[in-house]
Order: sequence, then structure tokens, then C-alpha cells
Amino acid sequence: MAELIWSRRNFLRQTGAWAGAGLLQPVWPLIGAGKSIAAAYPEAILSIEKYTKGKLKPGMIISKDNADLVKDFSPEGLYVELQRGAQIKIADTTMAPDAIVAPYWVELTLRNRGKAVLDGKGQLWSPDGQPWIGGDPFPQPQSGLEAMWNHTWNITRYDDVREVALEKNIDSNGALVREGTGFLVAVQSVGRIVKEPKPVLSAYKNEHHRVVVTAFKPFDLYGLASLSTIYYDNSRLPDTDLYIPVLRRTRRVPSTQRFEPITPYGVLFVSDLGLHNDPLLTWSWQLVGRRPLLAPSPVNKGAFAPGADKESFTFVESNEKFPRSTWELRPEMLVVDGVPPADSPYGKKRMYIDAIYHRAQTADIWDRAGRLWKFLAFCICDTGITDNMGSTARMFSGSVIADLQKNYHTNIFQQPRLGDLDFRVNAGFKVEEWLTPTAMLSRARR
Amino acid sequence: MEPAAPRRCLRAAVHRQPLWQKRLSVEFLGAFDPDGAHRLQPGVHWEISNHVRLDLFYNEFGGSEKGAGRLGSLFRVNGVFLRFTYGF
Repeated sequence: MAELIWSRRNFLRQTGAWAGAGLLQPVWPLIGAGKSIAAAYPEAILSIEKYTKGKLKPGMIISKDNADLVKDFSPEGLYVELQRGAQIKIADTTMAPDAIVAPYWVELTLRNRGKAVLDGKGQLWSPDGQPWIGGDPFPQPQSGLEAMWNHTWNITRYDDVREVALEKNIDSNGALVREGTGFLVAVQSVGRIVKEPKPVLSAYKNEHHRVVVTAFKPFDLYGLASLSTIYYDNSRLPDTDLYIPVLRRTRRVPSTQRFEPITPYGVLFVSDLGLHNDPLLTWSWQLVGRRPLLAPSPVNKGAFAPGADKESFTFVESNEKFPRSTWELRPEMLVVDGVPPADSPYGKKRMYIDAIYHRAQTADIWDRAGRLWKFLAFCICDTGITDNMGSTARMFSGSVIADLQKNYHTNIFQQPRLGDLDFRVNAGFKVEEWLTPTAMLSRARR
Repeated sequence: MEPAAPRRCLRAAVHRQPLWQKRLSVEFLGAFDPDGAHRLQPGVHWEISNHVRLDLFYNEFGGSEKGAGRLGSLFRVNGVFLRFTYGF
């Protein structure tokens, strides 16, 4: 048995090295020198037309009739969705390294290159033993854990954010069975870049960030708020407090129930938010390969591009099971397998992390029996709304969370505005005003 | 010296077991007055769709304490209830 495991690992390592052989030179030194990423990769993996020897061209629509054309370089879940009727459009590969990451974040990643340290547990630190100071900690990740730190360290890349969104749950018949709306406010406690105090909120220095989600719809959830306090120590589960409107009180609730639907009909688990929402060190991670793969294109602007319609393939709000979106060939994707804690019904999660953006937009999840269970696709775009740092905010425009076994979907559509609430980043939201039980009470529906 | 007024306390337990992707919940509410009264309410809550909920539950009030305002006095409303809710 031991020999079998060794052989499998060895095989995966060798496969990964072989697949990565397409890399001409590391991409991040090129970005630092202000050069195009094109010099890092052979032309054959920067153009989907060349990669598929002319079978695919930008502008083509992929559906169940021609899904086989993308099978070899798709996340497994995407291929299943295409066979079931999803439609995607193919676009050119985006060359800008800041297409879905704040420009200042790219500069920070370059400035802090080589400074990140992992301790024996795998926890991330600055060299002086203080919390990490921002930017992606590992511009050239060598392990699954390093790649995951890049993805999860400040998932939005902003000091604070307020998002407003619609949630649609669609059943196996394709019917919209439940619809919700709500908003989220998150504030970083460490690694703050833009808003004073920085880099750390000293009152919350043992925390990583706090996030509160408040529901407006459906009617029986109206006013419910859920506050999570995420600790810097990534082996510790968050604390969760709820504001419960019928009680007019806040209550501490367990945060261990991370692997069940958040809402009726929903397939989104707490664990799935942002593709991976559990403390990193409660899972184990392994880099199993690097290869070109399809990923959502930054043109998927959803509600951030007014006037777009279904035919634009930009993740426009719809009641369809798999909203139409645009995908492109990414030249280097890190394939990272995560094994969850023993209480999880998941057997494995495979994260596809872009080596240029250091962010994942897709993941496949298998159950304990080894059957493909879920597919997650999160679109990120340039919203055109200020990031309060001289540029525009790159943020999630929409997501698909698909239960491939039950054939249910939870689709999320971020909005620039919902009623009085608008989307903002680096806006100076304060923990004391938004993210404590007292703040939830003072903001509560009465 | 006046005798101390009897201390009145109520112990309550609520259990909710979601099933079928949380669409259906089996619920139990029990409230117990140690003086000798109780309320038991087993039920089922069905979230039919975005706006529609259906509850089926049984109320059982009882016990020896049937004074005014105490749980035992409410035995008249024992029985099965069906509640249909449409929310906006």
C-alpha cells in the first residue's frame, strides 16, 4: 500500500513537472520588469486557436454539441455542465496581470517578494514575526500551501469592502425555487494597505478579518445577520454571532457546521465561500500539476456592465441554471488538491489557481466515495467603481455553485447597488460600526 | 416575616432537524413548568418556495397546574394545526 501511494505521488510530481515544462521563464520577474507575460510562455499556450490547432477560435460558443473540444483543458465540473446544457463563449487570453487584481496589489506583491515566511505549522508571517504585510506572499509558489496562501490571504485584496448581491437557487428541473438578497461588509484586521490604521488594527491584532452578512430576502430571513470573526491563526475555526430578528438579540452559534447548505434549496456551504473559506491549516494541500486550463474571463462583468444581455455572455443576471459567461485559456494554472478535515463530507477539493493572478476562479469537489460532487466558478471583473487608490475595483461579479449529483445550483449575482446600499472598497468601514454584536444590534431591523 | 413568593421558572427546549437540503424541518418545542404544567409542540415546517411556507404542528398543553396564565390552563387549544404562510 505504501509503495502504491509513493508511486502515485511520484507519478503526479513527474506529470506536473512535465506539464510545467511549457514555461520559458518565471512570469513574475517579467511583471516586475514591466514586460508582457507573453515572454514567459510559448505562443502555443497563449492562443486557444494555436493550442487546439485551429479547432477553437475566440468568439466561438461551446455547448453540449461541441463540449468535447474543451474537455482536455477544462475543470471537470465545467465539462459536466456543458454536457448538461451550459453555454460559454471563448475569448482571447488576457495578458494584463492586474485584470482581476488591484494594480496596487500587484506592485505590493513585487515589493514584498521573498519576505514571506511559513512556520512549522504552515502559518504565514513576516520575517520579523509580525502578521504578513500584504501583497501575494508567494509570487512563485512551490507548494500547494503557498499557492493557497496567495489565494486566501485577503480574498478581495482590499482593506474593507461592502458587496450587495442576489442569490438564486435553481432545482434539477431548471425552476427558480428560492431567491434571496443581502449584503456583506468585511474589514481586514491585518495586512491593511490603504486606510489608517495600517498595517494592523491593534485592537484586533490576533484576528485576520471580520465579515458580516445581512439578509433582506426571502421574507422570513429579513434582518438576519451573521458575523464571523476569522482569526490570524489559520488552524483555529472562526467565531460566529447571529443577530436574530425575532429575538431582537445576538447569539453565539457554532462555526463547525461548515459543510451543509446555508439556505433551503441552496448548495453553497460556508466552506465554499470565495472558493475556499475554511481556515487554511484545517485542510492539507498538495500541488499536483501546472497546465493550461480554461478559466472565466474578466469580461464577465455581470451587473457592472449596464445594458449587457444574455447574448453578451458576460454573466448577466438570469434564472438559467448556468448563466452564460465567457472563458479563456490561461497559460499556467496551478492544480492544488485539498484534503478536508475528517468531519467533512468532501473527499477532495481541487483548486485551479492562476499563476499570474494568484487567484482561483474555479474548483472541483469530490465526495468521500470519489465521485465528482460540486463545481464552483467565481467570475471576477473590473467593476469600473473606484478602489480609492487611483484605480477601479476588481471584484466578484457572479458565481455558480453547482451540485452536480443533485443537479441543483446556487447562483450569485453581485450588484453595484441595491436600494440604499452600494458596492464599495477601501471605504473606511470600521469594525466598531459594522462588525460587533453591538453594531449588529444598533443597525438591526426593528 | 412574609413567606417568600414561590419562584416561577420555565424550562424550554427547542429542536429543529433540517432534512432534504433544509427544505423540510422536523421541529419540537417543549416548555416545562416545574410546578406541574407543560407545553409540547411537535411539528413539521416545509419551505415550499420563495414565498410559501407550510407548517403542520400539534399543540399539547397540560399538567396539574391549571391556574390562570399558567400553561396547564391552555388545554382548550390542544389539537392539530395547519398554517399556510405567503410572505412578500
